[in-house]
Amino acid sequence: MKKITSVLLVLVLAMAVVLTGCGDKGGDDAKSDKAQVIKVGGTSAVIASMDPAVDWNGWYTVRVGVAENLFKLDENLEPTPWLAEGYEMVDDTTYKITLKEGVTFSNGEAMTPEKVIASLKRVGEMNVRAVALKDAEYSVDGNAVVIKTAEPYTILINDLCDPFAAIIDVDNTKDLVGNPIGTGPFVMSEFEPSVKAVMVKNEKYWGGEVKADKVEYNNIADFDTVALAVRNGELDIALDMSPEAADSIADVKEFDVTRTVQPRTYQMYFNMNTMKDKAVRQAIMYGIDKKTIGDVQLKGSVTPANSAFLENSAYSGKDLKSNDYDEVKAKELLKSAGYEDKNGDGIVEKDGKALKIKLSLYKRLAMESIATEMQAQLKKIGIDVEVATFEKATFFEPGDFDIGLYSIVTTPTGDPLPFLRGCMSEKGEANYGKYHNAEVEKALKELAVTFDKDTRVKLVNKIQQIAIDDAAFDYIGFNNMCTGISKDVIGYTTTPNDYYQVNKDLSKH
Amino acid sequence: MDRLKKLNIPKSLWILGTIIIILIILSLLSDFLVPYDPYETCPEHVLQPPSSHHLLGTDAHGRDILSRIIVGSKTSIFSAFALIALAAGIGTTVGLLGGYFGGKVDTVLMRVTDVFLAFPDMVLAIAVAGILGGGLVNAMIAILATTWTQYARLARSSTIAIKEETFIQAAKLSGCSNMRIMLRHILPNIGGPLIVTATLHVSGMMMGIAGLSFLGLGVKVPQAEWGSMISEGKKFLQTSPWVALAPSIVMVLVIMVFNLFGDKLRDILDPKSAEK
Repeated sequence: MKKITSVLLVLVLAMAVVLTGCGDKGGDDAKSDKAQVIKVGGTSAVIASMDPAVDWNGWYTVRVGVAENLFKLDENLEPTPWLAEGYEMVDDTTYKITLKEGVTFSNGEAMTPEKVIASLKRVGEMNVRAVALKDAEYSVDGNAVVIKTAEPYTILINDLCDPFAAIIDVDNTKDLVGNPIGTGPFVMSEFEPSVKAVMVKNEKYWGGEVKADKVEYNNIADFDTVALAVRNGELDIALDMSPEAADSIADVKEFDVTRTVQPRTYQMYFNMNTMKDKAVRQAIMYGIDKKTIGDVQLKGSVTPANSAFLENSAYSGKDLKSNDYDEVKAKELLKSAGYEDKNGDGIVEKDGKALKIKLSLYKRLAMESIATEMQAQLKKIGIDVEVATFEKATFFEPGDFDIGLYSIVTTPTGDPLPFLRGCMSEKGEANYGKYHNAEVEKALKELAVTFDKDTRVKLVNKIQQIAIDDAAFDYIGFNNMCTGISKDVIGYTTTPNDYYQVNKDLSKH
Repeated sequence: MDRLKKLNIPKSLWILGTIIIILIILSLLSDFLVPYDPYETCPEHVLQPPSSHHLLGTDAHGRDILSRIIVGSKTSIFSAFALIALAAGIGTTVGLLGGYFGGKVDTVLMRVTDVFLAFPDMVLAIAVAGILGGGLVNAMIAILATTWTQYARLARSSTIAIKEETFIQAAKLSGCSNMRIMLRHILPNIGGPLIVTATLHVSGMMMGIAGLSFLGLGVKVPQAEWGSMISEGKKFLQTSPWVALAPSIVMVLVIMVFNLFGDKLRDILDPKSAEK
């Protein structure tokens, strides 16, 4: 009896295997005709949480096509309607934003003004950069959301373009970290923090048919591995590649490398608490040869700049009086401040103490390369630079730097105010250098309530000039983003702001 | 000298010994021997292939690779020596004390050793270096933490084997202090295997430091060190292979010399393997 049972069991199992095998195969065949999987990889392609309201995570949520904003920036960085139909300024503090009809979340729920308000309120509470949304009052007017800011605030619509303000269905989202429910063309299906994010097609997308079935984002440890993955055909899209990695795949015929000028700059913070001598800070600014770093060392992948804003933007710092590279002047400044090389070791001293500076940076894009070059350049004017490399930008908060290098997009929403307020205002969330200047503070307040464009430009220039004169910040230059895109891929977008990538038209030949 | 002759030292050992001495002298004088300043960047000449100007080419910052290798030899060789001196010193002391006194002292010391032995070398070194942060000194501390145990074990077993010999008994009877017995009577007699281990360890230490530097836990930029040079060069492996290959080849050769020297030395000093 036992024997018969076991034989039967084996038969059943065998049948099961054969049958499921058949089923799978059939399914695969049917799918592979159409199944469109787009594979994206990069050194910082996946973040620890997909919750758009937290820190800068929204960039990733919007990039992968899971969530969308009320407004979207066009190529000139001007806000245009996205989930909104349009807006109207009722008075200086009141914005009436009409929502598009027929927009649904990926769970099928309609996007109502109430849901939008819940989403925005949450951002205001959670994100320090969304301070205007925190202090605002919200009300519903038919199919419109009315936002009343605490005081006149000129850039509310720009703020609504910022990925932190991506609209999600707060009430129905169970897993904000791994599966926020947005209105985008894709839905999260698998998420491994900082490793992998897999998105599948949103069958109910309000904007029409979504072409690709699946999009995969993978974190890849370093640039070389990204290049190798491209070579092996493991990727369709390689995100921000280093110039070397881009060079090394130049012979891969199936790939194009596109270069996009970004408002992403390498910002230099001077720590005002540890570098009290202004002459030293100025000497450093004069001692850095940005042209050589950008054009020669990094082969044009960084465009040298003196201002925080792009040359072709309205807020460019063309008219600023900056401390351009001048080795002689740098040495003079150090000398007049009492720094001289008396023991002949090439490093200047004051009161017998050698001038030693700690340059802190984290592993992002070309930072390590830039730091090595800066170190060599500053040695020429007699400054001994110690480079401290960190994995993430964790050294800023505790002030563990004399000079800190930061990679930041200065006009994430097209307007300079959030950036300037963040790093220069005394209470700014990114004022790591502890910079304070009463005049800057006043100008920033004025900027927040000024609507006239020309006056705004003047104010921005004034703020930047004071910061340069105080020798508080400097900028190495703007990053030219290198993206490797397979020739088979159509519809992938690369924008200067770097947070619109996946969309409904993304597909493969 | 007579004693040396009696040992019948083979020619190969002399040759290897001479090479090592030359290497040490070269690395001592490295600052004067370099054709270029190893730290001066030159953006116009980045990633130049080997030529008559730059015998081994230039790296991504236009620095002369030959000069960096020469200067890096000092870091590699001397930090390896320093590490071994320290590890052997600490390990031998622990082993001697444990082996000689036995009992509770031995138990305590050996259990501590066991704890360190329980971790895989490199994993513990990476953890220690990660906690302490970068820098050559920290990297050395990290490697030291994993190395001294081998000397402790070796010294202990040799001490136990020798402690019951009659000459030790004689020394005890003639009223020698414990200290004197350990230093004058035991240490010289267990020295052979320790020296062999130390010589064979040189290459291991060089690999360890280079390994940590390769992972970014060793020397800080821009200090020239073979491991960090290989690490920097690996991203150009396809386009400019000399950046990573030159320091790699030098490292392989130097490590081979030290290993062969250690091997030959063992043939002489370690009677057990000589019998084979």
